[in-house]
Amino acid sequence: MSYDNQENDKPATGILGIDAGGTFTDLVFISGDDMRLRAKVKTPTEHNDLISTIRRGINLILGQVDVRQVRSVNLATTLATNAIVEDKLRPVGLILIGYDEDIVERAVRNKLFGTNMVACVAGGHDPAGNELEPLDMEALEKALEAFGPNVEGIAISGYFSVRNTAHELRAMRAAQEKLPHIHVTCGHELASELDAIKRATTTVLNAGLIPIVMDLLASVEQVCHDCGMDAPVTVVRGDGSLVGAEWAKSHPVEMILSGPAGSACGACFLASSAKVERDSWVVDIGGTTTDIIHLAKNGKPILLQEGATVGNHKTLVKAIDIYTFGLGGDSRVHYDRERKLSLGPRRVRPLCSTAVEYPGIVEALKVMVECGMSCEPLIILPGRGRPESSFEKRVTEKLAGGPQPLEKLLESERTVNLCRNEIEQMESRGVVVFASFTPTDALHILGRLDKWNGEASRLGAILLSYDNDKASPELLAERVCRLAEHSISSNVFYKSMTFNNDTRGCGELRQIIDMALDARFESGPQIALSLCADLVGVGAPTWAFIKDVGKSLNTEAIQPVDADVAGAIGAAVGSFSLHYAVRITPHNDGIYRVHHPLGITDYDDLETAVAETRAFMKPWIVDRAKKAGAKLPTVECERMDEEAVISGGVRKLHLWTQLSFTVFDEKDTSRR
Amino acid sequence: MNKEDILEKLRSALMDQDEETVNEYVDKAIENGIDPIDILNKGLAAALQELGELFAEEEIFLPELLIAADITLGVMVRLEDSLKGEDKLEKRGTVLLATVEGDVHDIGKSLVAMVMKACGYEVIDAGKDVPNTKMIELVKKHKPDLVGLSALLLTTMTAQSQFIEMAKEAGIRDQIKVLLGGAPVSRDWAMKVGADGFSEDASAAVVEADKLMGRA
Repeated sequence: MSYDNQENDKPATGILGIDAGGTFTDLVFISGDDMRLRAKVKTPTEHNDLISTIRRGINLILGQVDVRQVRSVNLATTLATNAIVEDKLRPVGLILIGYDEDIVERAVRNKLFGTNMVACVAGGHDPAGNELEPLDMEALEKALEAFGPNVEGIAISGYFSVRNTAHELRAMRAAQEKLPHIHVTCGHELASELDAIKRATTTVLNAGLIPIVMDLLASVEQVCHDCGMDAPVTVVRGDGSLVGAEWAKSHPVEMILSGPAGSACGACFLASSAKVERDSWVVDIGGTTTDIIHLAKNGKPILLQEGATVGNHKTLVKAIDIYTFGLGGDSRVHYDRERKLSLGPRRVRPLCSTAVEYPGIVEALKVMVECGMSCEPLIILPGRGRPESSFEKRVTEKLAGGPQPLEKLLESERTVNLCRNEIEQMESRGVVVFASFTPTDALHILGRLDKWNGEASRLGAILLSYDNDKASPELLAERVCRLAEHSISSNVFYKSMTFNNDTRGCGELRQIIDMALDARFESGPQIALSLCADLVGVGAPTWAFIKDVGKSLNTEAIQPVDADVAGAIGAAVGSFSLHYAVRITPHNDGIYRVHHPLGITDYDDLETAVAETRAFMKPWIVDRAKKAGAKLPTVECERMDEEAVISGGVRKLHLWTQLSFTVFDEKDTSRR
Repeated sequence: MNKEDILEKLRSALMDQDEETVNEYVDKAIENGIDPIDILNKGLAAALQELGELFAEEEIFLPELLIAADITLGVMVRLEDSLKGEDKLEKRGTVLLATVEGDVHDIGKSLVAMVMKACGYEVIDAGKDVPNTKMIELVKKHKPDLVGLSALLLTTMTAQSQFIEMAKEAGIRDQIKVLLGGAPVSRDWAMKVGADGFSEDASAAVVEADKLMGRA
């Protein structure tokens, strides 16, 4: 073990970052003023036993790092996202205060909330924060009573509770009294935006995640303790920021998308180490899909303002804005209906790697080439699903002897086109698996990758080419690589030109992008587009395409070293942040109303309202931050007054004043 | 006399609240082949707009405005038949119109209703002094493409922003496009309170509605 040159005995302390991902769990140790990577470890994730995986990883890295050096353990995990997507949330009882019955009924029918145990109770407020109906405590008690034995969490969401928290707070106190061992989550704690359905959904997901995340974090804390690590555990959120374990245990819904967030932040950190002049765009190319994430100059990811969607639940959680499209290293190369070469969105097994497992297919492909065939080199392999129709059973039987080219399988069938469709359906159900030409195969032909059987790739390319090109599989391989690179570049440009998922004019945008990227004119494109930001590539197949993508985008492409543990690095270098926004609204009778965490307070003049709110909120949020794990909280308050000019252009109407409080932790070493 | 002059005279007559002269020039306009829509928009609506602004600035008072409105209504009834949308016109969309709670001025809104109907929109007119809770119910019931809200007073304008907030909270904001109008309403106000569009008068309303429906 080597440490930095230290004058005294104490080795440099640092941060242990853990990215507990779907396939691998990565751990890194970063220390010193220069925040360098000192140790890294990768271990396969055991899907059903995350804590053993983490324990194994921690033990591994402690073989390279002195336990006394670790001053913080930062964890990023896909646990929250997975639990929602896989429907593994614990049972939750949802109390809705003052909601419209029609709207609730529709939401329940469409399974939007994430629970079927829903009780509507009278109460609620209007947009100004005035009580519309008193809170029906009797109905509330009855609902809590009914939920009691059946739930592990309670979610409470009130209509316009973000304008007046009074009813949610009362209901929460009642729930805590009646069911002291069950955690209660309130809507206003998680979001300050309107949309009562999304807010209720967010609250339910949070309540359903609490027992799961509490378990995990308690176990992680135990593991750290067992290893002799005295360090606090902090958790990465879906916007890339960090927060203490105690906070994360009661606000787990904020952890959704923390995996990709950490990855993007980590990639950006690795790429920029010295310069931080511009925004960055992180392109993460995977096997099936490519993710594009935009980070600001300071390395913080741009968030999706309307709230993240996980599974089919729309929430108000402000997580990173990820743009995903179906192109990856293993995308299926085929001809679309217009006979144009196209990639994906389906993923298949590459011919080259399949040929290593089943050498027989090389022969089969040779035969097809010798017959002068021209088609997609689609090989069918047996899958795990069950065949249903007689055709499907025939196919499965034929595959018992090993994989077969599609063309061979359909030899004896009469309704060839119908059968092609049926086979595609069999693939969606997992009854069969496809192997075909992919960008991975193209890279083998061009000699840029040499991991598997390149001969299968060459044969596949010959079959896929039109007559003229048959002599040269390299030509097809080049075309495939160009297509992949073009698609990625086009999507990066497109995403950089759109805001908030506004799709108006998208057709025109795509046209402009095409004109800049395609050589439609003999002399080349007549316009040029440049991405005014750095391009950072992460993901296994990225190296093959990122330089060309950078060229098309007219910017520098960076492929940082250690990008394979970008997620863990992002966890290690993340920083704490907490914020709360308080709105002050003017009313007709000259009143200024402050909508704060404990309810509403009215004032006669604006400046008094602002001053008193600041005075109240600063200690309130500092206290909250300390409970959330901040060691040296510092508060910043930003004031925004919104006015509108009235018709005639003379008078201005004051719409609202917003005070945004953000807390940072001074102890975070300053990065970007 | 050319068309522009006729329309000019029509506007002056309405500004003077002179019913006889107004109808005289409406006749002249029809004789001269001026499109009824232009009579309404460039003739009457423009003058009403002017009167509305004067009213907001407190240069004229309610009785004067009401007389002008009454005259306009009379003309609208006269022109109604020639304005009725032909069956051949494809339906452009459904629009729910209302004057906000606490506000009883609805001439502008009625003009918008008439012009939009003539242009092929299906119009549901909820009337005047419509509480926002009722608007939400109507949106749920009729599922319109557009909602148009009119407010003539500074004190009633806030109902427009409240409607938008209520639609957001009810989770139905994305299902509609909200268009705001009325004498004190500006584009700045409309955008800042979260509306989708704004229009100064009836024909601008149709242009804005078309844009929001995606057929600019």
